[in-house]
Amino acid sequence: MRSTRTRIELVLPPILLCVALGCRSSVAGPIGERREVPPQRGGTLHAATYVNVRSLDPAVAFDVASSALEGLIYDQLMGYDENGKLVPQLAETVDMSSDGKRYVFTLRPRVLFHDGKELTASDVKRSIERSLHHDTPCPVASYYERIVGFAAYHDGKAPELTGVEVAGSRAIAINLSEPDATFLHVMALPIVTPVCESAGRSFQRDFTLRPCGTGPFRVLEYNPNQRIRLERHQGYWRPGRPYLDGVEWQLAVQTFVQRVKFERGELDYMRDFSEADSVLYRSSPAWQGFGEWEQPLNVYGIFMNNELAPFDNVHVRRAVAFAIDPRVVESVYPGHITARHRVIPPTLLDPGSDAIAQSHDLGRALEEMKLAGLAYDPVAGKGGYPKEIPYLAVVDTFAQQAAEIFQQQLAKIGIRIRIELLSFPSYLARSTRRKNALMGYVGWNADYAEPSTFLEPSFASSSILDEESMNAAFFSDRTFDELLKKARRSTDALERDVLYRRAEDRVLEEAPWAVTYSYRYFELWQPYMHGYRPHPVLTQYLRNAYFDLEQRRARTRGDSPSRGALAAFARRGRGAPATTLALSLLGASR
Amino acid sequence: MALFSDPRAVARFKKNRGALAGLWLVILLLAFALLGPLIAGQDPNLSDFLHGRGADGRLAGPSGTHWLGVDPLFRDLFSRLAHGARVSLVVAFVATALSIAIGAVVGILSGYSEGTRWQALDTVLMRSVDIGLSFPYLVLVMAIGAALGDTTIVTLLLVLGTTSWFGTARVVRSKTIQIRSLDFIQAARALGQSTQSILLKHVLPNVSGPLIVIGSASVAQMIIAESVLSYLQVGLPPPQATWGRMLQEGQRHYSLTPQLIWLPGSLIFLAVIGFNLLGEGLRDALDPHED
Repeated sequence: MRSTRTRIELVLPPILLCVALGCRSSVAGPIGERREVPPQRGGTLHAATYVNVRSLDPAVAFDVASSALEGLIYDQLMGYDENGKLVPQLAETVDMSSDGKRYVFTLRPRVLFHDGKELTASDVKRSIERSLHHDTPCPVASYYERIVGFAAYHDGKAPELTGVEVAGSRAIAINLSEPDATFLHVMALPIVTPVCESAGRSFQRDFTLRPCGTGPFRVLEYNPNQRIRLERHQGYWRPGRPYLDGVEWQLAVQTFVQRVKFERGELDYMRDFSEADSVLYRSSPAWQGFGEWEQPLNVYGIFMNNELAPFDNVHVRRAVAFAIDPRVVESVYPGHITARHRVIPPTLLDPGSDAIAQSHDLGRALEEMKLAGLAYDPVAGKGGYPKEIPYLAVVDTFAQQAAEIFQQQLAKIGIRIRIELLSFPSYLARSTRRKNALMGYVGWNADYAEPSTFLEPSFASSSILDEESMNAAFFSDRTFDELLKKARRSTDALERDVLYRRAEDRVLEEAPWAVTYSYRYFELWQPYMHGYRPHPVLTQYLRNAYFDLEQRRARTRGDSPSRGALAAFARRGRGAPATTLALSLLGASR
Repeated sequence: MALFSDPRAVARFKKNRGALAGLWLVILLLAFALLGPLIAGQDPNLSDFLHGRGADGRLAGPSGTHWLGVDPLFRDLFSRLAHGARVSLVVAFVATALSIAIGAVVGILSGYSEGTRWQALDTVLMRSVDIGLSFPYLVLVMAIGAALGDTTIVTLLLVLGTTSWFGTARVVRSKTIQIRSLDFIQAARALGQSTQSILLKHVLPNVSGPLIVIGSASVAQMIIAESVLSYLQVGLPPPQATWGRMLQEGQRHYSLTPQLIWLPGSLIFLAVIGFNLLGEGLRDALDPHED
């Protein structure tokens, strides 16, 4: 019976998983108590994400997973306060000329890099030039195209970016070719963060392994498939900050494993909840007051590659946009998903009462297919696009689930898609490469609280690159580009809104994306963690967090009365091979 | 078939309770795979947003419309389990057949050429087997599956079938060496029968017993392999229902809807147990001295 026993061991885990976790509809309580305590130094914060972090080089890393860590490692000339207001960060003062075309940033004194060297204006110029260099695949270089001399420098025709002047050891002046309402916002992005000299003059692939900036934490270990460890930057310019000794960011940890780790106190903070766990935690009386929703400054959709058939035909793109019904997706992940019909969140730009929108209309979708010469008879199931279309989605995410629903909806207009599941880094590489992916999941998180962040990177012609193109639809439309340029140039806020709205309307009409939903995270942290709440603009802005160290010790003592059912179950199960097997499968066994 | 041509073997099989239980499990599983999709009457890939969620916001449980409830995307659970059974069994049977066929051919050729002027053939084949066995089986399958990218049911069973014959070849080779030296083979040679004829008419029938036993166990192994690949999302692409994928999808809902895990998990468990018990029963029936 030896072989049978082997098989049993192999197939038992799913059963045990259910026994260990699945037959229980409650969650463990918080660890320790929430007390009002002043900020104190000490402790390492443990967090996790279900994806891999592709890069920590600020010149190229522009995805959500990287942004959270960049917020800990780098400081910029501009930053945001707790309420999302734009404020100087490394700059002490910012002076703007009356015509809005020259900015002078005066740096704070005694700002040190992680390597111990002092920040100077030359470092700022060098860092900006590095990110906008011809050989650096910066995904949003076009944000900075109004800097004088940008085109010549970015195209490799000039040796330096003439619009950026060193005006003293602590003064840097930036000259623009025309006023730009978004300029100070884009100076708050990690793209132009000062980096150490070791970063080189242009992009170097290995800089991500030894990132070096001026932020509150320096990188101690970067293992792209396992974890990233940060430690306090002892020379940080803000006295007494950061409070934490370090941060450990675990990578590629599945949601159910994260829950187990959180319950066992191995994670202090969590936001990647499964659908069921989200419901349980939010409805648990023990957890009331310890979690908060993140502001959903994002939009998701389906990109369609405008340079490749059949999506080079606007009627096919419109057909897809009409066929998709994002409202039903809300019920798959209640509370987290909100159906969207326009690109810019209404909190940033009021669409007005007469706004056009992409809305579900099967009749119009079929009509558009007919106009594209791909008429489809839904009764007979004949016609439509003859080939199967590969659709990119990130494996084991909500994007995968949404894709399976969209697959059903697109089948109703004669478009058959085949879902290709990829890891997050592979997805980014494939979807941003020119003439590669036909269609797939796409999303955009605001870089700053201004409408242009939802339009320029994703839809402007200037955002198209052969690699790392943020414009995944490779949408190029002169009318849209002109409207966007005018809007950014305008110093009149009302006029700017009108222009943004018209630019957005143009996108909705041309349908490079089928807009689908916005996604908001529910974030939860243990009672002993203080100084954190979801930031209105930035993702997982944990740099100000601190611990109530006394309460946190309850975690290591394991004597908290509210460790919950799972921990109790694990304690009871010690010594029982079946339980150990199930828990070790989850990566939770000590 | 060696089993049915030998009344004593049939009698031994009938007396073996474990073997009979395995046989019944396999019969029930086959019936479920064959009839389940027909009686379910639901499209396994179609979401039912109307009846999918209960008043409490949870996924709908068993009802007249959905006998076992729905999956996280509101698709009929019973129908998906039944279609998953078809995938598992088709992949398992065809991949096993392929594996057994390759293993048998390699094993017989290798065993029959051992110690003859065709020794080089035996050496090449067995070193190939050694190389194949040196790779962890599932890692090899996953690597090929990931490299293929676009996985279809054909590529899946080809990958499984062509990477799992090494052990079979070893067993068949040693059995062939044993048979080759028996008198009736010498007699056939003396009577002028061709090598091809000897292999097909005398050697192959005599290695069929071990092949049946290996085949039964191999079906169970293939079911697990297919489930693992689906669980790791390198198997058949969504929305294809497979038990492994259903396990994977269900784990995000285990705390509220545990049946999403234990239903496919139990089916994998029962299928593997069934085929293993059957295989071991056949082994005991065909070769009572081996236990």
